[in-house]
Amino acid sequence: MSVLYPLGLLGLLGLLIPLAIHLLQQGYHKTVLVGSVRWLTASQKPRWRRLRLTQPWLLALRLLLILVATLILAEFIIERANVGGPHGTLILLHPDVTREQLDTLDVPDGEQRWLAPGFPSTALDTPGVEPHGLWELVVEADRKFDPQREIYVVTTDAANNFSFAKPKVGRDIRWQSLTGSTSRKGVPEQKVPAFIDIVVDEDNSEIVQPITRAIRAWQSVGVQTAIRFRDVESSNLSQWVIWMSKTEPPKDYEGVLVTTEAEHSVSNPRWRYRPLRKAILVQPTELSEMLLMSFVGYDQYAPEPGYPVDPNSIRLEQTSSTSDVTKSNQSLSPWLVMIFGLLFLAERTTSLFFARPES
Amino acid sequence: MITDFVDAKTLATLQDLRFIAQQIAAGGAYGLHSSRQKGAGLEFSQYRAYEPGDDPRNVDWRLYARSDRFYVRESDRESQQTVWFLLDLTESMNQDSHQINHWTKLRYSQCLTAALCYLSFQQGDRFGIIGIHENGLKLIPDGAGHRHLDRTLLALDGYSSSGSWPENLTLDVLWENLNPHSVCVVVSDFFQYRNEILSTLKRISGAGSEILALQLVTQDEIDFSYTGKLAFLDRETQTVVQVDTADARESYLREFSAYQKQLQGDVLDLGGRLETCVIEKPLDKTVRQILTRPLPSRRGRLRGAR
Repeated sequence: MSVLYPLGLLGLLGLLIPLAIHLLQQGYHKTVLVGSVRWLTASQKPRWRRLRLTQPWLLALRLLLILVATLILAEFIIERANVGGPHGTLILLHPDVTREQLDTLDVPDGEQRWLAPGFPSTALDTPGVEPHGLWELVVEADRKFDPQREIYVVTTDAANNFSFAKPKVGRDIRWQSLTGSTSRKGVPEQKVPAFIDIVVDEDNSEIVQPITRAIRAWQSVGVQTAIRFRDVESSNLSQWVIWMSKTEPPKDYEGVLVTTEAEHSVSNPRWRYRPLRKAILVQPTELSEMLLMSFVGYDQYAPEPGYPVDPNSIRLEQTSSTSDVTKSNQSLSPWLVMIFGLLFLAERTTSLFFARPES
Repeated sequence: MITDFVDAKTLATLQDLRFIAQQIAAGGAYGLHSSRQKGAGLEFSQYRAYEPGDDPRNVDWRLYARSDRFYVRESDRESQQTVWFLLDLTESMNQDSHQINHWTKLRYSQCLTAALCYLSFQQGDRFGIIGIHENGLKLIPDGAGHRHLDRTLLALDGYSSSGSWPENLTLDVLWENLNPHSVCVVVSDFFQYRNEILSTLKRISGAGSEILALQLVTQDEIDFSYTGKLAFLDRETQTVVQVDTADARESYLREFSAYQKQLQGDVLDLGGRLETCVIEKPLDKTVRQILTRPLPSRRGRLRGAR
């Protein structure tokens, strides 16, 4: 368990407030006019005896209120995994980035790992396994590493041509891009899928243009494609299928499914336990870029003229979305808010119970 | 008007009560309505028809000669009893009730005094009021009759209380008028620090006057029904005492009870009687409590004196 905002723990100083109030209240007495106090002087006690805490239950509730409020502010979370050290900056290097290029960047010192499956240390050689999509790796890094760690992602400028919907992560990930990098050091050669099936509906004319654009892009890197209608038999499906049909994909399919239908994505509970290797939800217009980035390699894809290129826009922003990734952090805030509400009610009730009646 | 102090319904319930001095009740002086006596020096009141059993000496024979009927001559004699009311007008009498809004000891003492004045007036007794406050006395001379009652009530209504009991109280006007047939009704809370009220009572008792001490208290003062931590401010001395009422209750009740017992004995020593009146209690019940309580026996008084 850790906190996202350690400075929020300064709120614990607020615990002193109710404590001080309860102690100082000893000196505060409501004044009552009486005819004579001669029978009360004997019952006056030394001040040190009067300096004791009154209404301890009320004090305890108020202390708990502030404690819970502080925990909410500091945002306590339970991590799912803690790969590497729990502290310090983590620099994820794209396999294309050389150490010389890294020195030219304004990146703080920290632990350096490859932005590749398993996030191997850069002390080792370049990753020998096939890298997944960039966004998936970033999301996986966010999920695996300590939320307190600051993550820098260093990629080549080709990755800046990355415009589709950014995944939502639980932290602020800084992006550093390198210009003029053409190196593909460490990227396996056999990463390009040989054949991609595209399954479409016959009556869906809206996807014609993005499909045509995607096919043109894939053919430029040597990927063969085949467009099939939805009544195609499942046995003919390749390892990579772009499912653009509104009908349900075959249930026994075990390859990588790229779908444009939210109904068929992994966020749909009905699909959660399918034997898929991977299910990716994309927008039809982002089909070509996404697949190239994920499976082919960023530098092999030459964006069309006029395509939005804005390096500053490639900054993963922290969101409060309820995506699967954010949930994986298991933030305690909702529970704490509920506890805070209950404590507040209890405090009000106790306060009324202990309220000093008019005398 | 008496109804400014006591409502008509309450007055009606008090009609059967009589204000009798202890000496009279003990047979040491005239009894109630002894003024309905006839004889020399008595002021004519009325004629009434002769009834069997009337003393023939009371028949007005001259009138019989003129009217050929028997009439009995009746005369009223002025009562020898004078009731002096000593009202405590110190700041502590401003103590108000926490159960009844705007109901202070002072107001209660005014109403109580007015009711007793009215009873005295009905009996034909003379009555006067002395208000004792920080700067001295406020006197309403003794007198009798309707006009005196109205005058008394009017002055009584203007009383206010402030300050503390005067150090050197001169009651010359009282000493001049006190006699063994006087009753001195002291209306106070008897919250004193140097027995200043009690020493005044001693002087009154020394003058041969009978003392009826009416101590006004609030219900809170009796059962100490305060809660929480409070700062009690003494109205007269401005002393502040901060206590936790829960802790102080037992001690307060013990001390207050001891003081009450001591005060009761002191007043009894002076041959008087102390009545503790709770100001939240209805006025007629308090008056009835005052006027119907049996007098302490001689033995009890002597025991109290010891």
